[in-house]
Amino acid sequence: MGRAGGPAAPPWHSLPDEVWEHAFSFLPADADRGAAACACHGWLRAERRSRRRLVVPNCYATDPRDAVDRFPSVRAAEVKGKPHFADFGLLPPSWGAYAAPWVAAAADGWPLLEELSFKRMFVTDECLEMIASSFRNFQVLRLNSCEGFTTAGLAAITEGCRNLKELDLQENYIDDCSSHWLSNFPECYTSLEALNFSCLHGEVNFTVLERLVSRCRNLKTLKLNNAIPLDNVASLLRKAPQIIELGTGKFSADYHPDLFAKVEAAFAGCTSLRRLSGTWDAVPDYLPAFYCVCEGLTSLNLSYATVQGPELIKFISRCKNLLQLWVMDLIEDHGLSVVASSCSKLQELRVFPSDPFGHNGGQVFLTERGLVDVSASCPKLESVLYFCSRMTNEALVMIAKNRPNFTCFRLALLEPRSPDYITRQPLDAGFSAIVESCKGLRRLSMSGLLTDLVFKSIGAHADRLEMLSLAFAGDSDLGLNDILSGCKSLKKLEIRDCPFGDKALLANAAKLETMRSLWMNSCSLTVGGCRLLALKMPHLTVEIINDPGETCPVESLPFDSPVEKLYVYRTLAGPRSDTPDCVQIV
Amino acid sequence: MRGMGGGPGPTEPPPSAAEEVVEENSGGEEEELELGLCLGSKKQQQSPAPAPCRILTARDLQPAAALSPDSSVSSSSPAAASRRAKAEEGSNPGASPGTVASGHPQSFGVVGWPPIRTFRMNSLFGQAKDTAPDADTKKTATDESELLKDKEESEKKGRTPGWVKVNMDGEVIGRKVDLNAHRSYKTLALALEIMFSKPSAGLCAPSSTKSPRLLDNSSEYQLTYEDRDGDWMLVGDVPWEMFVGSVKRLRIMRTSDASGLGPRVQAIHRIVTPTRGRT
Repeated sequence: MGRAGGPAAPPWHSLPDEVWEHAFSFLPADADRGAAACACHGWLRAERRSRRRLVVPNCYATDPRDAVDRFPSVRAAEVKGKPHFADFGLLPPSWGAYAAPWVAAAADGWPLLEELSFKRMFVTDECLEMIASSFRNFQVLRLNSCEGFTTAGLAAITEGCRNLKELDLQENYIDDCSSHWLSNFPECYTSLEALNFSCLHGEVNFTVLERLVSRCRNLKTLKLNNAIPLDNVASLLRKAPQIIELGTGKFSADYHPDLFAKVEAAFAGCTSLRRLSGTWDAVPDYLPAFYCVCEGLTSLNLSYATVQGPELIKFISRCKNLLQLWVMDLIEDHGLSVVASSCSKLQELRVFPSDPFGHNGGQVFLTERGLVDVSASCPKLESVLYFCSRMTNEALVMIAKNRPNFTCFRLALLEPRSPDYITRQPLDAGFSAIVESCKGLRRLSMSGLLTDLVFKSIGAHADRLEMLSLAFAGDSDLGLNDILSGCKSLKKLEIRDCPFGDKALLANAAKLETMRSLWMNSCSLTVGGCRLLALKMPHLTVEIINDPGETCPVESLPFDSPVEKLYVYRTLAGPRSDTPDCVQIV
Repeated sequence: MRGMGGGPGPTEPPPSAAEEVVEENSGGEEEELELGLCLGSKKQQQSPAPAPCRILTARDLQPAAALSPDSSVSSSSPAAASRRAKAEEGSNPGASPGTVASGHPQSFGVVGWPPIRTFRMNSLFGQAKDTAPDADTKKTATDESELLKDKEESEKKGRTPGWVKVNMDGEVIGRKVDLNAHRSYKTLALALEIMFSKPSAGLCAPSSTKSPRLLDNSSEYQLTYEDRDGDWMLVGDVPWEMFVGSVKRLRIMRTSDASGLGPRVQAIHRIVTPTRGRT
């Protein structure tokens, strides 16, 4: 590079930046753009100035102002906060992940911002108000698993964002202030394309909703909350037959032929419907009203529908074009074998437990058989999340053999340390088969009885593995050492209740800087070990997390004091300053 | 189902019995167990099978249940005999003789397990009424309404209800247990025992297993709780539902410190003290 061409051609290095920026626009993958930016200063400059989409998977990896400075032309930003195990209640509520600094920096440096997504972060009404008033062309707001805001904040968004196309609220904890957020959309407003308020508990004004849906002819996604009765769902569908994705509201009512007919007719009009979810409290009586859309469905989420197997089967067996199926274990092995034979295009399957604590006496018959059947008959299956109560090595080996194309394999055996229920052996052989066979595996969650042996296999074979979740597994530090010294692509490691201590961490400290983050709770870590790690690796933040109200200053604790929760992540920004008392950065 | 595990064979007391006296067949060696958390052993344990801690028991537990942390190896819940019988009756017709009670996990009540998002948990509990055909045979009307009320409240606050703190004397770091994941004192006791013992026990030596001992005369520790009025009470006296409704937090107290808790405890104290030559 840098060699001048003929007399008429400019040297490469004096091509205007706009040319490079245009070239880089053909590199959609951030990783590729990042690599290009490392080539030389010219490319660095061109790439960063033309970057339109920025994903920050750990909000503490960088100062928001630095991110905004570096990429001044961003139009769409996504920021993620708390570690994944926060979903299971393992993080104290005051831990952090505040959206406010990001919103403030964006308001300052990205006036043309159009899209903002936050996941697992603390978002306040003030944040939402600032978003509503800072970006004149704001179009898309996605909040996933966030908390800290109320419907008053939503009201600011719906009132202030005149060009809003998408408001996606997924699984947030939102306080209902009875604010008429929905009514705040102006009467002249028609640009809504996607609306998801499934996580809101309160009532919404149905008339207002109906009018909104009627006038927004581009509405493609509508996900209602549980407060909207079936009758009203049908009415809405008649106003929006162009809909592609629907989250039903409350899907139960006493059976009445008129209502059934109304619902059925409404669905019959929705010839573009491809994705269906919601269906809380679904009653079998009304499922047939859906039959007309089954053939077209590519995604079906019945994971909140406590409908029994036979009805589920009747429904799902009609969905021949499903790519994605989320369902409760009420489908049972028999149901999954029907899925296996009906849904040949299936790519993703998630089966959730209806009785996670076994209170109902274990009446559900979902076993390893179901997963074996589906993996045998669905050639495109690549992503699985499966909760069940028993497993065998033989089944796992079969699954691995049938489906080497898994990219995501998550098996959650309900009881910690469950062995192969026939041989009583650990499930090492089964999971080893999975990692050896599925060369493209990017995400793995293991459970059941597992010894250090399985970690040897993982370290050696799981070259593409990016995220690994472990619970109640392993015998010693050797296990963790095998993971950290292997697994070339590892980005996120989360561990709970495993007998791993400081040694493996300290021996592989450098590896931690190549990863995004490490979470460990209820293992065998000590304060001294964590301090040593922090000393060794200045670009890592090492957080020791206690329960709120149970703080003991780390400095005063002896070297071998146990550490209950540890969160380690690489950062350019140095230690954060917004920690609550229960979090200490060593 | 559950192997005898080589442990002692205490008489199984009838469920309604008061305290049981459990004979250990190998008394001395187990009493030296270090009651550390599953974090770091304060004392050298012999690898590869350090003896687990025995601190708790449940009154009407199955005999000789192996209760090391790997007791779940046998994968069979040491739940009430009635519960297991029910599960066996209803068990998968296709199950081979070697299978365990189908789909019946031992509920640990450990925070965050099974790994289901709290959002989903909150939503589902509101639906939990008729998940299985005979789901309601054990539930009373008060039970359900209390549970539903709790769930509604938690939905509003967005937090899973039922988590109470558990502290053990001598341990700096406490744990949390989900009372909603339990239906009886015995599963709670088991869960706590496993929580406060080393999970790294792996396959523990059969001879070191013994029944869990909660509120047992000869146990070094007692399980107590703080109720709504702020009083510390002994766990196990009142019906489970009443307990769940009034408990604020739990404490595994050294028996020697439990002298203020009522006549029963004092009686235990008198019995225990003279024989405490094992420490």
